[in-house]
Amino acid sequence: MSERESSGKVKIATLREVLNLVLASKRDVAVVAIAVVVGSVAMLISPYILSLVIDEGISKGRYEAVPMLVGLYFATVLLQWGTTVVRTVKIEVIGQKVLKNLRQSLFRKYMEASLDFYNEYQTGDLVSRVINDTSTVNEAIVTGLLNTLGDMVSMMGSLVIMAYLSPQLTAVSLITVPLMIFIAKKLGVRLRRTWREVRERVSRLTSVVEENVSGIEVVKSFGLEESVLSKFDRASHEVYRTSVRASILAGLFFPLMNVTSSLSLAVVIAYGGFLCLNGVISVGLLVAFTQYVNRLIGPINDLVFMYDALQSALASLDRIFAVLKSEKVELDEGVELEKVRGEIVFDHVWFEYVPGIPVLKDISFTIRPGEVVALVGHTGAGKTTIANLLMKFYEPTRGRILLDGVDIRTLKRSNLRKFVSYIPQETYLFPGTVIDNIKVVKPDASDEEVIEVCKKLGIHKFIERLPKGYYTDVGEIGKRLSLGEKQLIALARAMLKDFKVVIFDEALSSVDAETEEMLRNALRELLEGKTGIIIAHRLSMARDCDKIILLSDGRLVEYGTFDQLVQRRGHFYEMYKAQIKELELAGAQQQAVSAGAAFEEGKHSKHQDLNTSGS
Amino acid sequence: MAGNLLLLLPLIVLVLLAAYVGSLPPVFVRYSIDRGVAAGSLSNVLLYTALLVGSTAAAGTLNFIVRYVSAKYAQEVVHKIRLEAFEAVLRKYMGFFDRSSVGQLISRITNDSERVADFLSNRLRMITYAASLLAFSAYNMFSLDPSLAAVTVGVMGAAVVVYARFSMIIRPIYEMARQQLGVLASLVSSDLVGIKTVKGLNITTSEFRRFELENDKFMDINVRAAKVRAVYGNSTILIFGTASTLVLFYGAFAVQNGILTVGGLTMFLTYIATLSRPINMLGMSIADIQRALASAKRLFELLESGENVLEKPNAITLEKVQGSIEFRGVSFTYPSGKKALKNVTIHVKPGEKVLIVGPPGSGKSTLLKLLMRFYDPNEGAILIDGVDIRDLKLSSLRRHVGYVPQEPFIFSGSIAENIALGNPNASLENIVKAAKIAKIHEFIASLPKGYETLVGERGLNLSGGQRQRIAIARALVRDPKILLLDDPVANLDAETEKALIEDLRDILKGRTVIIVSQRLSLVTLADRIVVMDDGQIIEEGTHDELMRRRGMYYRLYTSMVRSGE
Repeated sequence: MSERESSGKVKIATLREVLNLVLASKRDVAVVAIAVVVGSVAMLISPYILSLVIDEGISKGRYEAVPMLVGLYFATVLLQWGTTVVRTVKIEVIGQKVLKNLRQSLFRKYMEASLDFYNEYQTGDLVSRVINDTSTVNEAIVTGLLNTLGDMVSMMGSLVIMAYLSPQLTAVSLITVPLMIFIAKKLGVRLRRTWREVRERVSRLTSVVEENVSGIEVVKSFGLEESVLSKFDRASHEVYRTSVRASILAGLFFPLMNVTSSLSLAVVIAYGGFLCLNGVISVGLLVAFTQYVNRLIGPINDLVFMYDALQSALASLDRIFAVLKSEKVELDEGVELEKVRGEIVFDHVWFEYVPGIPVLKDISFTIRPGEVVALVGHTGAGKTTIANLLMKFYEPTRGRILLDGVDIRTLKRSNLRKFVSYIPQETYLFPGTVIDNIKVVKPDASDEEVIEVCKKLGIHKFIERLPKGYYTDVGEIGKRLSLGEKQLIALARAMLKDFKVVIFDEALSSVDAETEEMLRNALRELLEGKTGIIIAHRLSMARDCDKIILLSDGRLVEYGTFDQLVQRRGHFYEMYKAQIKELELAGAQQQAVSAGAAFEEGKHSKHQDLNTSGS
Repeated sequence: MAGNLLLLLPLIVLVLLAAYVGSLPPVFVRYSIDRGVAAGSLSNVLLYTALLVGSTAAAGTLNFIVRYVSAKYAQEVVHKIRLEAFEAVLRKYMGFFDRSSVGQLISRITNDSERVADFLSNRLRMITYAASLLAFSAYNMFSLDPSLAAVTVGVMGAAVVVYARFSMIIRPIYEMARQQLGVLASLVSSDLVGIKTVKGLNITTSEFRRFELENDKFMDINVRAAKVRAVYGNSTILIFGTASTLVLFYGAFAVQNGILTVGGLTMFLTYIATLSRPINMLGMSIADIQRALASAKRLFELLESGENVLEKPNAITLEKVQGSIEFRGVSFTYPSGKKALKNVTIHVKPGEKVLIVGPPGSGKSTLLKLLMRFYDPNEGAILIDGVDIRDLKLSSLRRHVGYVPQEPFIFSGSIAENIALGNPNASLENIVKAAKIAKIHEFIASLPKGYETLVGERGLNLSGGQRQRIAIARALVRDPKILLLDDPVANLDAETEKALIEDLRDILKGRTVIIVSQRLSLVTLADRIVVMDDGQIIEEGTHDELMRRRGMYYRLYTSMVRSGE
């Protein structure tokens, strides 16, 4: 509530923006305005014609006028129908356009936002802004308001004509209006809220089903059927109770509305009858009034509902504009490079996510074009941060990062990312088929191209084994794909497009040993002519890389070739030894010895590249 | 059911009564004009207007009672059906869940039951009420002027047909809109969840274009719905306007000829005005009949289909178990037709730790699923302490056997609740103890809200390793004698894998354990290794024995050590 009050000023500004969106469809708005006016006039004339038929035609016996008057009456019916159809369609078109634009702006924001933005909001919340809040805004503010304005025009018109025809009778027929408003406010609004509550309860019930069906293995293996069932029973009972409450309210509300409207009718007939008997008004006028009074009080109910809906719609509007106004965006401006060779230089780079707590400390290194570098270190050493900076997800607090000698700070983001790609550890597959998922980087790629890449990677056979091969829906088999298998698909995806620099952030952490070995061989070939940065915890990946960078606590502690680092007998050597040991079984030490011998062999067999400038 | 039928009869009488009273107001309008205004009697005017209000109020009261009773009755019935449907689902074999998607089941249990409830509580009442209201009104009209009545009733019948049609035309469009909205939502949420991938691959522009396309499609569907709604929904104006015109035209001449009075004419006009709403409802409700029947049919199918896990009537309970497990010539084919196990025999001694390895799809996990009775074998038997598990009570089997699935499911709720799933009677002390053994206690204690931290869909996001440990704690909280681990390290990165394996050594102490894995890193935990391929056991023995055999195990192991170097 307090939030609502404090942002009252913002709302007027945001309302104005919505109004601008509405007014963008000028022609449609004009058509609606004309339809409303013409329709209202037609609607207001028809009871008057009715009174003429009765008074002039029937009472005064001038039956020759009847066909003409009835013809006129029918004309007003046609006019009302036509204008209402046009009005309904046009209002909806305007509303849908506004909605579409709002959704589009939100999505654009989501695509342009910086990583900080996604940390601030939860995914479900952001999705709900696009899906639910926009609809609420449309119902209450755009189409709702336009329809209400139309209703108000005809209400006002009725009032004016009624007052013109008989001021006394008009005054009396307004007696029931406060009662109507009272019932609509007290009961109607509560009924609407209860309906909303029923929906909420149903969705809570749905989530009980969803959760327990998704976790059915757990439910069954722990024999939780009874407790799950009683949870469902409670949730279902809540639906039952709220639904019954809703029908009580509906049972009170609708008949009371009917009673009120027949009360107005009765008042009009009683007082109108009295006036009629005294010759103040004619019978025809009385009949006409019975029709006018319906038109006057009919929309009251809708107006009260609108008022209530407006409250929640304003909150939705705020949520939409809070996101649209967020300044956490990645600006896409700067210079563009035509082509890059793929040289990367970190020049005394410092970085802090939280001010005062550096996670990268004075990092400097050079990766030459075409080199494949392993970035190793314990969890929290700063490996992923290096990737984040290179992708311009964040900017260094101090120091520079150069791509082909150009400070990436000056580069346009989309340009940088055209050359540098990043494959995160949390592999994400999009809804769709396997081939859709691979093609996502290059929508115009042919199937053959995709298959060729997969063959090179050696994962063609694995994909072929899926139920429908490349056309298997990953959503359907998502549960059956292991993380490692998902990583294989993500790998193919990154290799389909010709990126110059590729960063694998633990991108193969979950594939099994055999597959990893196969991929390591394939990757060398696929990375030909590309700069590669492989972030890995398993040092086996590091072995084949040209260089290894070892990070520890945000600092670069060792840098060199595999052989150099092993020879140094420093941190890397210790880590490596420890990992080899893990694989050994108690009592199978010969292997450790022979593995140790393999180091020695490797040392000699590999040509020596004594570039230790970074260490 | 008999009691319900007894309730139904007075309900129908009440509906008919409400409809009769509800048909009276236009008649009182007529009398107040003819016998009041036209006859110059103010007292008659007052009498009939009072009756007008009174009859509306009486109809309202009757309607209220009917609405309340029928809603209560219908909601009760549906609550029961819903409960039975959900129970039926929970008791099904896993094969049933392999075939049905979560969405389908939700739609059965909530949407279908909701639709049946709505039909029973609202639609049925509306149809009865509106139809009898129309009948009584028609009677009143026919007794006044048959030809005018024929015109009016004919037009109203047309309106019912138009509305039923409208309802049937618009429904698939709404359904399309709903689905398209789902497409949009899943596009947005998948791009947000995978935002680093989206940005890392530089596909924001193409994703935006994809969204634009689907967004346009959604708008087009909505505009189409709006057009149908505008044309059909507003047809009332045209239909009832035409009816009024005809009534006015013929009515005027009927009055001229002295057949009809001004009040009578007003009665017809009032009927036309007041019946438009019940007619809309009648049309829509009629269109709903078929849909409600289809929903009811699907619900009953769900209730009556078999596939339940059966417990023998004389099933026994084992108080304590030693923990020996025997697979005796077990063969199994999944309902989908996939042959998973071919004549498998394994004997696991109490306290023994067995690692089952083999390539994906070799049938390793199926062994565990059969042991949990997620499925029953087609041939052979599985015994615990010499007792066929099909002779055991399910609750007894599951108390002694703890199962940790490959991708543990975390329910929304607190961490304590998630661990206590294994034993609803567990005290916080027990929970903490289990968490300590699973080596997740320190992490939980470091959270601001500790064990009360919310996890799951709307709570804290747990890493794969943390989920795995919570699942282990969940299994340990009931201290099972037998523990089954389905590839506990499959989705862990190397560092987490190492830590977990280290901790498992303590966790497994004193239990019979079967671990299934694609990875050999778990070898250190096992007394014995079983190698499976293509649903069969191909090698069995200790690490040393298998290494000496130079078979499949040897090949797997050497390839792993090589990649480790």
